[in-house]
Amino acid sequence: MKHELALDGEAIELYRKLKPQIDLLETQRKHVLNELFFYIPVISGVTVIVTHKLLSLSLTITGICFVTVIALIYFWKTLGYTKKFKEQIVAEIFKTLAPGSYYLPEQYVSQSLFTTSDLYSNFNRYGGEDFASGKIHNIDFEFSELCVKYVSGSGKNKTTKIVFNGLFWTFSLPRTLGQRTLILNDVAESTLGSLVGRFIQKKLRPGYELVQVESAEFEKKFVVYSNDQIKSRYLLNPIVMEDLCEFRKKYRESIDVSLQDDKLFIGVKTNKNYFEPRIWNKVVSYQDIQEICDILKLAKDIINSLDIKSKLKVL
Amino acid sequence: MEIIILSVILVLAVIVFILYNSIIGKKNQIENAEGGLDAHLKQRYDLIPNLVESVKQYMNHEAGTLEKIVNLRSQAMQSNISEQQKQNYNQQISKELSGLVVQFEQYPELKASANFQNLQSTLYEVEQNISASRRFYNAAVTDYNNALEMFPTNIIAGKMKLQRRQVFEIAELERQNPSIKKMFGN
Repeated sequence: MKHELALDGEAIELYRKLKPQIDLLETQRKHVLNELFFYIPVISGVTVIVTHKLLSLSLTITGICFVTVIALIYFWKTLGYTKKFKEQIVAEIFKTLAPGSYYLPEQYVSQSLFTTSDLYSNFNRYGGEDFASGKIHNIDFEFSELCVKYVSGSGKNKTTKIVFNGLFWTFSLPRTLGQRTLILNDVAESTLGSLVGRFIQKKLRPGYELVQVESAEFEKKFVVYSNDQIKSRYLLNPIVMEDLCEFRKKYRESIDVSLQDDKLFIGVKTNKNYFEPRIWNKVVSYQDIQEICDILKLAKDIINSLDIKSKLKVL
Repeated sequence: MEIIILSVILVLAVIVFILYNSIIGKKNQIENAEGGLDAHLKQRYDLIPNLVESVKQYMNHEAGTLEKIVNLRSQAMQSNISEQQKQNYNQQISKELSGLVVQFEQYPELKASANFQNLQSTLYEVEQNISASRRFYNAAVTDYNNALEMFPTNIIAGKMKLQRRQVFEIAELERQNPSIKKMFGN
């Protein structure tokens, strides 16, 4: 591997830099926790008495009121604390990893960009948070957490399918690399075997050709589609394939990459909520900072590995 | 009974039709890959005279290497040579160019020239494209050779009297792509 994956030194330095804010937040967290321990039993107890004893409502309705009240108290009491965590800790991490960047906790990457990536389709609910924008290696980027779903039916027949839940980056390249290429997490071949899996893969992405690469390890983990067999291999040289396999091994998350002419997209599916503070435990530990640094650095590593800067220079 | 026999014949005909088309598709994919590779080799042939012209005034000690590259280019461009010979000449050109690029380090004046910098970027891109084209060619040939040997496509391929194709042996240096870029120290 030519790229360093973990920046322990950088994470330690960042942790030290953020320590005063972390300590203040830790004090606030304990205060919030004390308030929760006071308000939750008192207000939820009063709710139960009012709904069940005084209003004689059924146990089901009392239960619903009880849970709703607890959720509202939790939201009300943690709102300020969460906001401070994002403004003081998360924003600072982005500024350190991508100097000059800005962070908007309630915004997210636009749906049109997400659609342009061609990575995920068939959705009718789109949302997210933790938007950041700036430059990485002098290339403009936008980032956010996204939750994209397909909801069908209503009432008891309502079904929700998660299309994408995780971290999403978009990079606007200064000029086109003249290809549309998708590097996706392999599902068909790894579950159905190479013969049937490959047959299905060929049919899955109309408008793209299946690109078979020479690395057996890479083929087990990813599937590649492109509109140009040669340019896609120019992008995906043996070092890049090796690196992407390493990233998969390290992050243990599904990594999808899309290059659409002058736009590069990276999607990392994960259930972990990286940018939320803890309430019941220490606000943020060194390991948390390290994890955030690592996952945000993934995009930098992919840009490095794809050698985008050199490719832009020669085109 | 007749309907069953006719159905079986029809199903078999459809299977043969699908297998035949798939083999033809694989064969055409090799031609497509060859076309792509030729286009990038042509780009390199066009680039070599400019490169030699730009560097020869600075690199007097490398006159022998430059002459060798020019001769190899002329030999590779001959129309009456076999694919194997053409491949050999082109691999020798790659080897000689890599060797030459290493020597560029010793000529700071050359490295400072804007024209040369432009040429070296173009050469880097062309070399990468040649490497990508070879890998595409190899993937297409492997797919085709598999069809020639695997059941049931081997039966149809046998009737069509198709021959196995040779893959390019990609040099270790090229496998560790992008070697030329590293040598330029970009």
